[in-house]
Amino acid sequence: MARYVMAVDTSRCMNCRACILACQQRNGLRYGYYRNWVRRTPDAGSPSGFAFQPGSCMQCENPPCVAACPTLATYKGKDGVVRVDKERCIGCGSCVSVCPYGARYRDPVLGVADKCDYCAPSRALGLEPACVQACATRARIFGDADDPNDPVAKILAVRKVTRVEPPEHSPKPTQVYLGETKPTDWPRTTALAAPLAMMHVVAGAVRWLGALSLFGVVGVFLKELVLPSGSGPRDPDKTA
Amino acid sequence: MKTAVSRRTFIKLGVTSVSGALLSESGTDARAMGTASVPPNLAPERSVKSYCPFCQVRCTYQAQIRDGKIVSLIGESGNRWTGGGMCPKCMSIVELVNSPRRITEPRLRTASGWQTISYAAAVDLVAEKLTAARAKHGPAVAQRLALTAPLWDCRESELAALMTLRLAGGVNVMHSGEVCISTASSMFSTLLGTGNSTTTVNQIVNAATVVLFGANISETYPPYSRWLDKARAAGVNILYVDCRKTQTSGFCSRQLMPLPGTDGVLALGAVKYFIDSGACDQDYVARTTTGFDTLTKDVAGYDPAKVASLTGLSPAEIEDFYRTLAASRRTIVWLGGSLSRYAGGSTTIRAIIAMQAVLNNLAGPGKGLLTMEGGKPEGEDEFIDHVCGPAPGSGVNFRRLLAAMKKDAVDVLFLNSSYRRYPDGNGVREALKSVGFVVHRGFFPTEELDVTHLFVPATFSPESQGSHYGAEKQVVWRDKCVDAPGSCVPDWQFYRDVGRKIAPDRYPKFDSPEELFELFRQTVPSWRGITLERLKASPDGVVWPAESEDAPERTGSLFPEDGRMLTANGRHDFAPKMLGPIVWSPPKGSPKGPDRDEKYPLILIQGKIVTQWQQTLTNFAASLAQFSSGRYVLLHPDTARGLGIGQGEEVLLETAFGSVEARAELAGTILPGVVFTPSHFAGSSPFPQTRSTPINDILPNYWDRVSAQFNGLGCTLKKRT
Amino acid sequence: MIRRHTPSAIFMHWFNALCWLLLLASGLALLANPDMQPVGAWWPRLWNGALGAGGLLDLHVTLGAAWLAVYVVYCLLYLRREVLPFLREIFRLTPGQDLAWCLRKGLVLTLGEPAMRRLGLNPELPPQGFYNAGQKLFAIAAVAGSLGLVLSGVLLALSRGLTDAENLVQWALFVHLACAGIVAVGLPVHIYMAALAPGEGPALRSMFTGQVPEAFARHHNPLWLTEPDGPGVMRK
Repeated sequence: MARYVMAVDTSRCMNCRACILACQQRNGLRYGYYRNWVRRTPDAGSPSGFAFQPGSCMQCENPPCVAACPTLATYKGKDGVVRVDKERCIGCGSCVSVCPYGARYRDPVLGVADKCDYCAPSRALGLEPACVQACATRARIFGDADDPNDPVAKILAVRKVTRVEPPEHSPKPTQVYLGETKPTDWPRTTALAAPLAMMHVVAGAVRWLGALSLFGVVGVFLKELVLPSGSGPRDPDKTA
Repeated sequence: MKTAVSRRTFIKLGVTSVSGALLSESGTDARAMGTASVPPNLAPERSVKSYCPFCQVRCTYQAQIRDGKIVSLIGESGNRWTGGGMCPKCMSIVELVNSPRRITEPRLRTASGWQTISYAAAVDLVAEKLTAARAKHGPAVAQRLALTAPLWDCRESELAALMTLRLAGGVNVMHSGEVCISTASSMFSTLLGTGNSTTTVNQIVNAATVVLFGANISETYPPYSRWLDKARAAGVNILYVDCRKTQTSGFCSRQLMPLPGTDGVLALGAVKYFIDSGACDQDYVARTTTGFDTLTKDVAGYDPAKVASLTGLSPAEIEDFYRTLAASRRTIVWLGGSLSRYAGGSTTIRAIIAMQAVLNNLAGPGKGLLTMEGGKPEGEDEFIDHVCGPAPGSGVNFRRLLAAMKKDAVDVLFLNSSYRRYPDGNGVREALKSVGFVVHRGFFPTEELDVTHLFVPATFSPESQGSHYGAEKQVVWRDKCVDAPGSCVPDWQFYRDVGRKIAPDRYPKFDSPEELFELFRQTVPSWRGITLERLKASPDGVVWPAESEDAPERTGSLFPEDGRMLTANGRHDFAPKMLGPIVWSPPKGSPKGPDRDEKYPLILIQGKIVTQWQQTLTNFAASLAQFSSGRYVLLHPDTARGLGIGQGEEVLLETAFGSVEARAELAGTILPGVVFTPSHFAGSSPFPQTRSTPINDILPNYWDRVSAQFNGLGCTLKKRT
Repeated sequence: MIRRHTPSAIFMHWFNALCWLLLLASGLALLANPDMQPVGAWWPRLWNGALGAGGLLDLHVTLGAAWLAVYVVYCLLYLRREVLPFLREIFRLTPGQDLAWCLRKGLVLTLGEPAMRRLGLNPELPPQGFYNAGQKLFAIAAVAGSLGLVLSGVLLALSRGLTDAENLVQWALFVHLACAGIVAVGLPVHIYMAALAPGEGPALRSMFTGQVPEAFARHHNPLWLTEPDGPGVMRK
């Protein structure tokens, strides 16, 4: 199976935002909601005075969103792409708040999480991801990193890559930047939302108490079969 | 729908790949619980070939259509000029076409307000007005009718409108370039014999040096950035001349930031430097030019010290720039539209042409001059004259038309675009109110309705088929993608219907753009080889001229390889009598000029931003509004400090002619003392992010012999309290 | 024989039992993240294979809505006759007696009476009313848990249309899990004590017939028999 990777060459980005609009239209998103972005950071060292950094879901190796999803609506496919199964999603937003990159949002109408899936539906129709296709300078390079003939594999083989990661607990992003990129210090270190974290505790407690209750009952039942508790004579059924 | 991917093929392709994807994905994802299916609402039913109606890059795309609506556009990857790249403006078409704000029925102004009338009644009314004007004024009607360009959808529409105007007896066509970049085109015609670029964009990778003279390519023509990227990768030294650092700066090795409107000085100094330093190609100059002695005299005063004092650049960086150019074997200069947007722009363009000429850089591989107005294939006048007979006199430019309107001397005006594109917006609006009958072809309830007598709704590009052309002289074809709503009709249909009414015997018969295209091709020899079949089969069209179908496509320069120009004597004249000596002067009303007003010490410049195209239509797209946050003024932090203005503060941008509200954006990316603001916001925009008083409302009616001045005026900023 | 349950209460008991089991099963299947639910990944997989993702959620929401609707109707129709008396009964707590009953009953079940006597513990259970202490506790847990489930469940089901509701939804999810968890832990005990334990045959049968033998009642619920509005009123 393919292992999809996106490599971004920020030196080619001119912040025209075609990638953003192409993504919205291809995927039928609502304007004002974004699956991808271009970060514009003042940078005196850059000829234009700004550093432009295109991005989208980093398709992490250890995606915190997947761990945060109570229903596993969010999952990481074997192809490396983290996706949302909208039928399972209950819109709790825990994946939204736990993403170090802010790569997700909750669709205000459908009430479910939405994020970049490298245009999975239209890729199935044989198209490149919208952002890749629309980019005039091909700043976003996308393909199968396991296929040595794929452009992305070729460029990853020769170029140094930079990963943009939160300071602690890196989820290991698979979307990478070619060469240098600025800024790299923006991803947040995030924690699971309190109610969801408490669900871990409740689930553990229920697991243990439930087991105690179940095994206790089964144990007593078996004990009664082998060794009746001796209140037999007072059983009204037997006396009646 | 011959060129479109047939519906069946597309569905077949879709089904095969979807089932393939499902097979390969099902049950393999470690933690996946659901099924990953294609949402049924995203798969398009068909895909139709089309092109973007906005800028001259003329991106071609495949419109993805579902339920009779365009849902997305996919750039045509076979387009050799764009490589399939797109920009947000083009993609906003999806929304503009589907906009619920469109007016879809003709409206007539009556004493009691707007009255909806039928399309047939609208055509009758227009024909009646034209006929009445001619009956009343006889041959004098020629100057009493006018039409503003550009037309909305395609070349055939333009031809249909020109024929209607001509057969109605009128001559005044306001070409879009005169408020844009036609100075370059006009100077090229006069001096080199063609209004076109002398090379094509793909040649920049063969140059040693490329100079972007005020050409902010990445922001105004984003898909062409790929050529800057390619050139940079090929080791081409890209120099940028602009008083503002922009996205384009990212592709350049060095930037010179002269004072706005002094580009001509920089070029004149270069000419002098090349002559003085012996870099000048004497042999070439002798062979292909005239008037070199006059040129030498004209540039005599422009030594680096004078250039430095006028441009604000340091003598060292000026000399360094000149040295680089003198040493460069092949140089291409890309002329930005901004050069034409100063009074005196023709001097600037002349100086730059001379700068290229003395180093033998006018034409040839890796040499030449590029403009974004450069692609218009010739043959239009030839065709109109052939079909409708010669013009009864010559037309005027908008400046003269404005004067005529003010004198009640215009009876019928076809307003096909926004009047807010002209300077002195308020004056223009008042003048338009004096026109006998204004027919507006538009889409939305804009400011134009205030001056309109009859509104006839137009169609957006994908709602009709037709041809167009791009910056590389390529002619492209578009198929009809979707039906237009209500009574919206394409221009070719509207002007044809009017034309048939007023001149039933003379107006050519055609029922479709295809038929008109074919008539044109048969009539104009340089188009003979551009057949509909070739156009429809090609992802990026066919390059004009093509005299026969068998001849190989001629991309690149129009100039013969021996270096001759296309002028009558085959030479480039540095000093044509009609233009006089090259004398540079500051822009009118500039704080650096003799007519300065001390109250307005800052230099105002304007320009397109990536989400705007002219005619302000793009303001009606939420997709573009989401990237905008209203009118801003960009100024240097040092300038702002002097005025006591902080980042993000609300200010009033004032000129001697009025003021507009704006938000201050402070960045070191602009020359101190200069204020930049985006050109094309509209007061009638439905979105606050794209709504503003037009900047042209506070500009005076300054023109040079070719075009209007939009830049360089004195202004000031005041904090709003 | 004494009448202990009305036909309507019997119906509601079994309807409740069925809904509860299905909702618990489907709910645990929806909550597929093995770190956030107690049964493990095999259970969601099993259900998902049978119903698909959307089907499972639809089933859960539909069933929950039906359960709630029937309960609302029942509560409105039988408020005075059954619902309020039931609530009064389960909240009639006698802390000392109830605690003694629970502790001793637990020991009787696990150690057995002889062992308790050998250890010098009193195996005699304090006399109980209509419900014994264990039943009261479980009933209180079930009522409170159900209320929590209803409130959080309705919120979860309707949250799709809400904007900026993430935090609310997350807390609702937590409450939903916690309430279901509390009741689920008690469920095996309830089933055993009421149906499977030796000598509880009449109790189980009464959940079908509504009748218990008088001797059974005298033994299990002596205080009920002597109450002014006790079975004498209900006796046919």
